[in-house]
Amino acid sequence: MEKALKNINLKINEGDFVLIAGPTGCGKSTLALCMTGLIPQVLGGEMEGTVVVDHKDTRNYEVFQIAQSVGLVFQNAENQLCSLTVEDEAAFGPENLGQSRKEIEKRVAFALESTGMTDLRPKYTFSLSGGQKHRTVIAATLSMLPKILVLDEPLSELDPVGCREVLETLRKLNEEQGITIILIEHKLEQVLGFPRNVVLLKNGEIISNGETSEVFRDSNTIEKNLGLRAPETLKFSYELIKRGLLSKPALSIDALEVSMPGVRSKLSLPNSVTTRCKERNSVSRNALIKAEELCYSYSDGTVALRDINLEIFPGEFLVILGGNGAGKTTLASLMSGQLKPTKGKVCIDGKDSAKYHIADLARTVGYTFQNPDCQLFCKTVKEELAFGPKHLGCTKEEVNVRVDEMLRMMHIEKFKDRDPHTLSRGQKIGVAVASVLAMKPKVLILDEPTLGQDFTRIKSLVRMLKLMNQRGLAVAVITHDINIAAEYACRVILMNQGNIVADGDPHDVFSKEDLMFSANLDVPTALRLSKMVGLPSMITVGEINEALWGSIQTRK
Amino acid sequence: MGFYPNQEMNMFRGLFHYVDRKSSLHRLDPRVKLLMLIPILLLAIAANNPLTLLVVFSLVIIIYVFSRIPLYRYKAIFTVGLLSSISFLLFGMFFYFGFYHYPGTPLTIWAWIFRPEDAQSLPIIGPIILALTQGRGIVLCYEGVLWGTVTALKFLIALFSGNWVVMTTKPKEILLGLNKLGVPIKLTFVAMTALRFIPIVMEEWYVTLNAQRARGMKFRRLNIKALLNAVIAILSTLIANSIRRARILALAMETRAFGSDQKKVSFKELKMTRVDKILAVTILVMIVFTVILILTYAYPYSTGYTL
Repeated sequence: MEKALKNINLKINEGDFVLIAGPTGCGKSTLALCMTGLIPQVLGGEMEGTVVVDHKDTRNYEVFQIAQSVGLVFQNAENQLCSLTVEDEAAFGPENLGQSRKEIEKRVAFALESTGMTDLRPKYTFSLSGGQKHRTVIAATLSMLPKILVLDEPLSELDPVGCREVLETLRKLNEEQGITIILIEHKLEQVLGFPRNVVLLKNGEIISNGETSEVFRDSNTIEKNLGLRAPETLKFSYELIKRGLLSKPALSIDALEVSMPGVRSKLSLPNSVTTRCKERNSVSRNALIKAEELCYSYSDGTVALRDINLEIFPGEFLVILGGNGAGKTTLASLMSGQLKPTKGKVCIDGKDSAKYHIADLARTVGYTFQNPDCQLFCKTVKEELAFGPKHLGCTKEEVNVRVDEMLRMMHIEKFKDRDPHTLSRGQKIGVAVASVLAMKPKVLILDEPTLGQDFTRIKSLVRMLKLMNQRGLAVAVITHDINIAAEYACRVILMNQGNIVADGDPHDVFSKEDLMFSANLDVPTALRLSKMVGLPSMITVGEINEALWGSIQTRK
Repeated sequence: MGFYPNQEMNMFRGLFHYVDRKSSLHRLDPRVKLLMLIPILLLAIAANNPLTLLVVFSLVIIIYVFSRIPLYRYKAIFTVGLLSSISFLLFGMFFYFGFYHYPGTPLTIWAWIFRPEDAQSLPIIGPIILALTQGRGIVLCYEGVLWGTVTALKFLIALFSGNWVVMTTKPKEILLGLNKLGVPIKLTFVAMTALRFIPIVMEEWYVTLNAQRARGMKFRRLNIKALLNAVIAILSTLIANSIRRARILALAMETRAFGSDQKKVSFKELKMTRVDKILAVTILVMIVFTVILILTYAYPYSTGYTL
């Protein structure tokens, strides 16, 4: 039996803000569960050694007693909420402890105040946004008055606004209330400015532990060693250090700003800059999907989309960006025929979507949903891949040919007889994409395919999509991950409150900072870096490096 | 509001049916509301006279009017009510004789639809109908229409009165009320968690259905077997997801001291105002009155339409 954690010796002091990072499967979640006594008391398993939390040995105290010292927030907020309203949720813990009503009221007020949720007190939990749901869970944990808060990948399914909300809340709790924060995350780009200490885990062992800038001094640590995505600022810092222009890696843009004047004087800026050329595979100018003055309103009258005019051409690789509630998923649903327009028209390969069944349109448009769990319904992966072609009317031989092809392409041959529900999230998404591609659509729409996954998975998925794109498949990715869009998109569509506010080359779109901010999105970090250095708008660090030093960056 | 910014699918608003109005009836203690159900339901069950039932039903409608429930909210319940009333009526009209008629009680036959002798001339269906109707056949009779009307009214009373409680009381308050009336906390907690997850599961159902459609599945084209398989596939997905959820939820609740030996206290308190207390007493008196009514007029006459 492989040990999930090996020889962990870790000391965290009161008031620390610690980041625990590592690749998937390194044991971060197991460590979190050990810190609360859930391992070994509730989840069993064999545990050697001791875990002492707030002077309590986790073996000798009841879980509910340890719970009053340390709170644990899991990844998916939805599944941790058991009450109907925010208020009830915050009161749940103290109620269980048998506190007096006055005490409960005090704690609820404190918890909601600390997380900025006081105004949302009477709201139903299912009506909250992602960031609000997470803050509700944090509030529910806070009302137990713990000294330590452990959060297991809280940002994985949040958009930039949600991430900011949660991180600011954590900072406030740490600085104002003195609560020790242990944050387990791999979204380093957003997180790196906050924690003072970092613990790196790999294969169940601690490979590094110390102050943040010390731990990340080596440029190989993040990407090569751990397989995580290095924050843009850090990547640029490494490049500068390599050329002797900087001594210590900068963890945030502000930190880099400080050393900038000295750096700038030693840089030789090129006279002209060519931004990388877009490969625009317009095989024909006949649009695959055309939306004309498209409007969509819900049955109660709220308008979701207004006057959308959009064309998607064969062979394109485009990214649809926008914050929560912008209408991205609604637009994608309309483009695939799942929803029918309330006004205007959507033509899919010449067919009016309102007149055709979703299944008929599936020949042209493939669609993967945000939640992979809802798209897998067969008993084995092989059946799953065969589902689409079978229903499209392919012969048995053709179905088998396609299934084998997909198994090979997505590297999931070893899973072919497994039940899809037993796979990890990343593997499920791979199966979902494969099962849609097996129908050989002309355009593939993916709704937030990168949520909750680590960098290696995201890279391999996007690489595969690029490959299919080069073979003629049009790809539309809905995401709020700006850096992915900056790295891979040839065309970006920016949405805000039901309107398309920008459509074109990512360099142009991302430079419109006001537009980006009003759409609740962050500008790519590289954009700010390139401004700082004195270059025209570059959207990836790779471009900046290429412009400054002409290094050959392989476009992934 | 009940929209999902994450999913951008505004399908399940107002799922809890609770209509927020400031009527005085809304403000009643949930225990009193639940108590109100007792005499209404007792009469609905025991009474067989269509006139009595009509009176009770009108009372329920009057309560609705006083609660200022807007007209558009009636759509769902009217549809259900209408459909079921028609079903009961039709069923009673033709099948009362075969299912319910007690030999010796009055029977006014208007037309024979299916005599027992006809069973042989109709290949498979004939014997089945004969077996189902206890060998009596299908007959259109006055008592059948009466039975259909009476049963429809009973159902409508139960439907509308139950629905009123849900429409005028917040879910948490209903559960608290039940708690105070003696239902164990663990049970009401289970009910509350279930309520909380209903919108989620419904949305998953919708998404899974669409996911199947997006992969070429046309539900209308399917034969029974294929349809059953498809439904089972969706259900197993939903169940698998729910089990996954339950695991995480259980752990999350442990970290919030659920199941500790301390006595669980309720954050919200239910306080009975003077109006509530007066009403409660009135209702208790009404219950006694109803029981007396039933015992005098209905109980001694097991069939018949005396009450």
